[in-house]
Amino acid sequence: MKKEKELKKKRPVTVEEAFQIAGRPTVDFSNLPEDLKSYFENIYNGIVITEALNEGRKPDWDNWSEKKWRAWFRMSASAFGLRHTIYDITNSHAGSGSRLVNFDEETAEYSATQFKDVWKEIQIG
Amino acid sequence: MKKTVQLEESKARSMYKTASPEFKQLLEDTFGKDFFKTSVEDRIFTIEDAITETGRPSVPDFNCVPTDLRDFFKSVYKCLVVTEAFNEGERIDIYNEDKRRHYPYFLNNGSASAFGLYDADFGSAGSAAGSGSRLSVLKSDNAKIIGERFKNEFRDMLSL
Repeated sequence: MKKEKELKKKRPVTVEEAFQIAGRPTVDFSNLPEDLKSYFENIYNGIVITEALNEGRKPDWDNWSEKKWRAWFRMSASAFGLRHTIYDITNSHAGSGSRLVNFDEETAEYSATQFKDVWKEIQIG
Repeated sequence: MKKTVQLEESKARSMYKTASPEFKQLLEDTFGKDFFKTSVEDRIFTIEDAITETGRPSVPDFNCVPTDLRDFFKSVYKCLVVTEAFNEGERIDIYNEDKRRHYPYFLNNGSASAFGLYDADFGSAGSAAGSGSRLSVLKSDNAKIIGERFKNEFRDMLSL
């Protein structure tokens, strides 16, 4: 219980806090094609959020015994949001790689609900 | 007075689909009839092919991101351009539940050497974190083709 509380304390509430916790710099994507800037910015934000929540631990993509949790979203313009979380061990679908997954279900859910707008923008592209 | 119009191949292919008979004839006279006959799976085999098809700039060096993330971002860009090429310019509306978004599904198999395409899956009302409109194709067959043909690029994107 104590451990859970400590973890919750460290969890970023904003994207800015995620950058502080992860120790990542902000990035200027202005050298990319105009229509792709926002997509790559949000991918980067998603990585930083995931790193902050994973507390620096990077998933080992070839490790079968390590569950990798990711959020699954309900796609609706007016009600975009978390549908559920699932995990993969031996499979992976395009876009769900090691940079964007968490180690437990609760963290994946937190990421999806707290940073919904970032994930939404990644989906929209 | 004469004026010269420059048209990228990708743009010509896109315009051909909805062109009037007269404009179609003009395009065929300029690019050749066979140019418009080949299907996307018969002309995209490499990243360079996909870049030519889409008219996108070559893979950026991503010097703007921290060093350890550069290869990851390059692989995302490659997969994105391949996806765009196979969608032939059509953007996917993620909120349209009637339109399926197909993507390749891989079996990790525990090592880089055994990595490979498992199947093609689709989403219509739901989507996983990180996928979305930029990495989904409109046809199931094309999801399988890109998963096999660009396996290494997808593996890099998933594992780096």
